Amino acid sequence: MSPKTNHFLALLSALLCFALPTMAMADEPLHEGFMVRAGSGTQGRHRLESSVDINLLPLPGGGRLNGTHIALSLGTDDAFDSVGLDRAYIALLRWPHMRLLGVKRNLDEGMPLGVELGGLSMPLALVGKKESRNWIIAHVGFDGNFNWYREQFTAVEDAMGLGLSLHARLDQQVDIFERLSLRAWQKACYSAIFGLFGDTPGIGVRQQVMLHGALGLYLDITREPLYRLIPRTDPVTGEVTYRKSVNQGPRWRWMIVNASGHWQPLGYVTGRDKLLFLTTGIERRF
Amino acid sequence: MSTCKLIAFTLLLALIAAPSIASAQAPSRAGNLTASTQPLPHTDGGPITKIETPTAGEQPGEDRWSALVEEFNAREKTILDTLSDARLPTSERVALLERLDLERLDFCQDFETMDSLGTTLFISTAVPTWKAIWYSSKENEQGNRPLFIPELITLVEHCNYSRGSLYRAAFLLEYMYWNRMIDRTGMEVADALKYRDHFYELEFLEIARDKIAWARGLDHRPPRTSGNFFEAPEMSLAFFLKLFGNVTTSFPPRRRRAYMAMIETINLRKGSQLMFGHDIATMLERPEDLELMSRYYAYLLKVEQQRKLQGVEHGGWHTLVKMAGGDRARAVRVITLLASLRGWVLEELSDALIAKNKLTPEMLRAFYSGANTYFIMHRINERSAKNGDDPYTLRYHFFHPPNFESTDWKAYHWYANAHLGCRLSQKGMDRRSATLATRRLAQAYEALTLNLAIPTKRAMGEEPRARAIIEGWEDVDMNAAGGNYGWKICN
Repeated sequence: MSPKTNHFLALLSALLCFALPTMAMADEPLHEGFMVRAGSGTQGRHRLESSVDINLLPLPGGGRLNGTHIALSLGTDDAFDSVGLDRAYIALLRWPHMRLLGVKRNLDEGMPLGVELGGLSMPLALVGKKESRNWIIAHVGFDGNFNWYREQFTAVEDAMGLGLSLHARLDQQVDIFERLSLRAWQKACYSAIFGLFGDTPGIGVRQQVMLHGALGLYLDITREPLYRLIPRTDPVTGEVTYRKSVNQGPRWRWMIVNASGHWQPLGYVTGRDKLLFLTTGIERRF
Repeated sequence: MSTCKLIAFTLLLALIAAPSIASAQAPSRAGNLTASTQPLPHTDGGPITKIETPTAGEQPGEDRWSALVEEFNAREKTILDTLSDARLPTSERVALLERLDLERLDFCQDFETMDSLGTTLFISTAVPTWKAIWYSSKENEQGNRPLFIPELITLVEHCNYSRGSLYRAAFLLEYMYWNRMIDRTGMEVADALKYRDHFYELEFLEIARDKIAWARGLDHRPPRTSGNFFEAPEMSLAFFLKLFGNVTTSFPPRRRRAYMAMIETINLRKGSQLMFGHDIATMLERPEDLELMSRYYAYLLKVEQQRKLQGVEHGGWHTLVKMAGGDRARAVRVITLLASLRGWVLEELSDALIAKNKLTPEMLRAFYSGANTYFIMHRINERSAKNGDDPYTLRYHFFHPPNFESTDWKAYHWYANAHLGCRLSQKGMDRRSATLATRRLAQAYEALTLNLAIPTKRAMGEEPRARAIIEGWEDVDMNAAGGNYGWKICN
């Protein structure tokens, strides 16, 4: 393909990316809504990423269930001559504690195509109060996938197999100032992959340990105040006092900077064992 | 490499084998837990074959039923007067009814079964109704919709106060309370809750009068429950709760015993909303417990009128214990069995007792008082709470014992688990195992209800994820605190 065609496809894909809209990875399951961001990574790729959570699954009595997740990430190199879909994740249902039937692609992990069968995790609120925006939530769980790995996309060897993963995850959100918040997450994932590997005859096993993480700074730019005041009358004195309550609807935020990455201390599948990615963008999410 | 393979295979085998091991064990345990097949030292599982009531074989006199009907009629008049003062003026009424397609919303339609009431909890029925009414209501500069409650009153009146419309109106306000947005009606939380409670109480009055008609052999509506609460077999959900217990409390064995004994006490029954079947059957033999419930509700109505009483720290708890003759276990038991189960006792237990010709006016008054107590407790809790140390929280104390306060408004969670803790203590379980059992059950319950909380919060425009988890875990702590307290008072 000529560079012109590549540029045209990149522009078209970017427009589709906004129009659909979509996202990059299931990296923040505690936030639901729309996000678009752009950035560069240490692997030499520049990306435009977008994600959206939609209400898709019909319910028996009418209405639709939230939590269907679509995420796409378009990447290119410095010369703009290698434009493509670097990452994608479409899940029928993605809630913090439950995932069901997804299709994914993650070239950072050498995987052109994978099927997420499902996953369950147990949430644990370590720090947090209902009316506060500062919290730490942990998840421990497992999931099952069927993945294809290809050498041409940085995998150590061509492979396909059933992956069973155990994972532990921590999510944090802290307000630095009233509208400026810091969000971070860390995830450790152990996977055992059973399947066919390279030229090895018969079914083999590979293991992988991946550490993922991200840290982002978000500025709330919604016009509506972040908090509202709820009046209360003291039963004895009759004095009216006020309590603060978070206005919880979806809010526009500027993602000033978001650094995400992974490190693979133990792995037989993915060749790219370290990656750091810096992005900036905008979101309208809960 | 071979070690790696071994680890991986072990992991795979464990993952594959765990469900089958659990399912292979569970049926035999379920069998053991059914008192009718093989009683354990404690006998809380399985159907209740014998119900002893103090008035067995004795027909209550017509005058006692008539007195109760008169009492209910007077109460209804008071509530209707309050509601009519708050409804929309006639001109706005017509506009509202034109704006909303009530037939499409099924707003007036009665529920034919209790199961329909259950499904109303689900997003597909309640939230679309809420959205249609809420978003058509005019928003003021503060982002509140002060006409929402007057509009609900008008709709209910238009439906001629049908049970369906009363329940829907009440439930929509309740949804808002659960999601911390009832202040968006422009009222203080407790004031808005008063209207929720009036709607529910009108529904309870209708139900109660209908049960009286049935008990007296007069015309009545077909019951919405199967009326076989005492004989119903174990609910299939109990299997999953036991399975969860087997996985999470299996070691040491005393922990599992405590958990299983707790599931037996809860006594979930197929097709029923009620719990604690054996404890309820035992309580029916104690007229003093039924009478305590009615007296306590009368006291709460007085507290509602006299604001000074709301300012008394732990006032609701002290009065309850005093009325219970200083017996804290009894105090906890009465609130748990008669009030913490909302209106389900009133409807379902009445049906089951009428079917056996055992319902008395005193029972019905206690069931009615309990149903309303669940709701009025929220209201008084909100009024009496103290401001917390941070700008967000309230500290609820009124219905809790001294030295215990909570930022969680769900006092009924605390009572139900205090009762469980007490029963586990009576069954010889140690304190740590009993508390852990209540904590584990709460975790299972909260994890299950995330599946309802996430979509409903999202549909109402509220943050659907982190907050649902945080709130769930506050409830878990509340339950465990209740379990711990209950164990101590009964040990």
